[in-house]
Order: sequence, then structure tokens, then C-alpha cells
Amino acid sequence: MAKRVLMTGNEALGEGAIRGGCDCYFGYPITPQNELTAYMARHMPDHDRTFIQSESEIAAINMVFGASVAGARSMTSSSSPGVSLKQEGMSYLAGCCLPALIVNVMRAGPGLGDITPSQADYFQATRGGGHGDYRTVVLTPATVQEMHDFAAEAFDIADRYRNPVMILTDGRLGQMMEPLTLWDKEAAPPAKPWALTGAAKRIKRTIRSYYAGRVPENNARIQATLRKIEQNEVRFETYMMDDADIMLVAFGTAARLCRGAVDCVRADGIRAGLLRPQTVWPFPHEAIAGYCDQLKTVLTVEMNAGQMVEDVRLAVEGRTPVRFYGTIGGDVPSVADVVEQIRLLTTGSES
Amino acid sequence: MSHHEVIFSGSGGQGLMFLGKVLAKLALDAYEHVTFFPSYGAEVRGGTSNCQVILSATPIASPVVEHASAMVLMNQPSVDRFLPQLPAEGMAFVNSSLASAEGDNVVLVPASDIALELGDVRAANVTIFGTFLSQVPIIDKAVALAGIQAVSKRKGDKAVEINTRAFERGLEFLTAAAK
Repeated sequence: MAKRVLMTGNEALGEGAIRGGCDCYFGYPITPQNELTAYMARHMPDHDRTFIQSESEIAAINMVFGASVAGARSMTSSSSPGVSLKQEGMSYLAGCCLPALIVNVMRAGPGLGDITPSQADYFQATRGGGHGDYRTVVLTPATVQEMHDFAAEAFDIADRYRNPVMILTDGRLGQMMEPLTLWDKEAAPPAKPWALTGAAKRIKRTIRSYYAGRVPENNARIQATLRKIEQNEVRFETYMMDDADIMLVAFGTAARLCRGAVDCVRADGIRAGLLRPQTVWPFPHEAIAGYCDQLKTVLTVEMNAGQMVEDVRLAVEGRTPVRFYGTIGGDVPSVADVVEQIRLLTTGSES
Repeated sequence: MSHHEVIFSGSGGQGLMFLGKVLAKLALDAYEHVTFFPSYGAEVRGGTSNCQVILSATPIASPVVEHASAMVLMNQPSVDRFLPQLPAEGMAFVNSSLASAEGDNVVLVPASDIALELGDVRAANVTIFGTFLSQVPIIDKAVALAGIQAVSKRKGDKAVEINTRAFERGLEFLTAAAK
């Protein structure tokens, strides 16, 4: 077995991005993701790559845009209010069909919010976030290993579809340390025959989001790409689902708690299981729908007031009752809290 | 069951993050699952700086301790904050040079006084870590000492020497006190 190292989630994500071939990192400090920016500041120069601490979040996303136009694998990271500032740039990335990685280590908004862990940016992340008809691929790690691996893979996904990719995580996963095995595959960025690299001795290329008179065609091209992503990139993991009649659905930090809760209630004979989306866009609609026949109840657990539960309900289409349990404002449930919610379902006193 | 949850808490600068990181790192070989979680919220001056370490044979749901098997508490605010959460089967190691605490499962160690006597009050963390490991042997003591020596080396030979003596004094503290 490869040697395991101990790192914080933020650092592991940074190292994953470097191993995934990140050429340029642009960012502006904000808690709870600062260890990521600091890690990139320390290590990108070692690999002869570019690190720039920008003057603002908006500057950072536009630097990402510029680097991506030129064919570089580029990324930025921030936390909720900072990611809101980047939305215009993300919409332009999507409109111009440009690959990029955006990391959101969520805190508890709206507004400035608290730095404690939250999943309250689910809607923003999965619905595009900026203006216009687009989506970003949204990866939701639940371990430090996944923080690392998803960052390493994100550039391949972004390049494959020429579409922005987001890693959506929170301060708990960012700050905690866990052992991981480092990514050892060689990054292999594809040729980018669309990149603006200087037009000497070739026909000039154009990248823009607005093509006069051809906007429907451009948007249709984006939509066709999104359908391909929906077909190919749905990721999820199930735990104890074979005989489950209660299915928990949760991602990231909340999914870890749910897994612990499933273990607790299984000891008492309650047949609970977990479906954990590793991508929340594209969302595992079909996988969730496929379990409906065996289920009495679906319980969605989130660290927000109820966002992913809307996607779960769309997947279930009324075939099974869908309950929701959430904590807001940076409160994180304990395993015992989730256990209590499962028990309430089985005693029939659920609201 | 091979599952341990430990809270390290003190004031900033007492070296509690250091202890947590040392324990987590040295536990990698012996435990499949390890988490280290620091306090990173808005802590107040004179309050507590803490970290939580969980070692387990099975996946760890939350890196935040829900059932502490042990606590190392270096000042009074830490005792006041965490000791009430100590389960009956858990053990607390309290730096009695700076804090008072009572209870059947509380071990008082005058860690700051011992460290001062050895020549550097900053070794109080390593002193109490020795006592902690003498009672809660969740990692091998020789591995722990070697790990502490390796990290201390960055600060010079003197730090290695004081930390080695501090660790050994801490390790022997309860047997020495019983004599």
C-alpha cells in the first residue's frame, strides 16, 4: 500500500490540484479556505507554476478566465460571499465554453455569514449561480482523500466538456486532517485547438459568449454538452442500501454523519441505508428513483434549511414520502441528532 | 473496540495543537482511520485553543468528539468548558499548576511546574502527554518519544533534551507519586 500522509482537507485539495496539472491559481484570502491559498502560494512556484494573490475575488475569477482562454489549467477558491462575487465570471466562463476549477469552502450565509461549516450554497452551486442557461459540474467530497482526488480529476472533467467544474465543500472538511494516499497519475491535459495562443502562422480563433445572430446556436451547443455531462458524470456512493427501507440522502460532511447514524440504528435492527451524491450536479436522480419501490421513507439531511431535498423530491416524484432534517447558520448536527431523526421516522411520530 | 476520542485544550501557545498533530501523525500506522480537528472559530483572548483527535478501526463520522475517551486540559477555561462533557469511563488529565478540577477520573499533573523545574515551561505539554500515555496507551510510548524528538529537533538539541526529560517525567509521574 502506498504511504499515507496526514493533511488538512484544504491542503490536500491544493496538492490534488497541483497533481492534476493546475497551471495557474488565483485567489483572495477568506476563512475557512485560507490553508488552500497558502498551500498554493508555497508550492506552485516549486513546480514553476503561477500563483497570484489577486486584489479581489472578482479579479481572481477574471484571471482564471484569461488563463483558461490561453489554454492553461486554472483555478480559484473562496468561501461563500467570495464565490457570490465570482458568479459573473463563472457565467462568462460557461458562456465561452471555458474549462476552470472553482472551489467553494462554504460558510453559513446569507450575507457575510459565520465561518462555521454549512451547505447553504447548494442552490447557487447546482443552478449555475450566475445568469443564463448553464450549469457547472459540482463535486462534493466527504473525506480528505476525496478533497484530494476530486481536485486532481476536476481539470480532466473541465477540459473534456469545456465547462467550469466546482468543488463544493465546507470548513469542517477544509480544516480537518485525515490520512490520504497521494494521487500518482501523470496529468495529461488534452490538446486545446480552440485556445488563444497567438495567431502567428494560423487562422485566428475567437472565443466569446455572444455571437451576433447566433445566440440560440451557441446556447444549444452548451445545452448539448450539459446533456452529455448528465449522461456520463453522475457520481454517488451507497451504503447499506441492499435491504434498506429508509434511505438517507446527504452529501459532504452531512453524509459522514449519516453513515455513522446508519451504523448506530442498524445495531437496533432499523434497516436504514445511505445514498451519498458525489456530484450534486449532475444529480443522481435515476439512482434515487431506482430505490423507491423498496423504501418506506427518504430522509434528506443537510446543513441548510432544505435545498438538496428539492432535487430528491424531483427524483422521487411522489412515490415515497421525503422528509427533511437540517441545521442552519453554521450549526452541524451530531451523529446522535441524525439517529434521533431516524428513530422518529420509525416510531411514526415524524412531522 | 479500537476507537479513541481525545480532546486537547489550553490557551494559545501551550502547545495543544502540537500534541494533537503529533498523536494523529504517529497513529497513522496503528489505526486505519484518524482525524484531527482544530478549533478555528472566533476564540477569545484568554479562552481556549483546542483540537480533537479520533483514532479508529472504522470510518469516523464526525471529527468532533462526541464521547471523549480522554482529555488533556491545560488551563482553567479548558477545564470549565470540557470537563462537564467527560463520560464516566473517560479520563481527564489536568495541568494542576494552572487549573483545579475534581473527580474520580481526573488526574492532576503539575505539568507547568515540572517543566519549569526542567528548565522550560513550554515543555508542560510534553510532560502531561507522557502522563496521558502512561494511562491511555493508545500509541506506543517509544514511538511517541521518537516522534516528539524528531519534531523538537527543528528547534535544536536543547529542545530535544528538555522534551525527552519532560516526556519521561510525565510518563513516570503517577508511579513516582505513588511511591
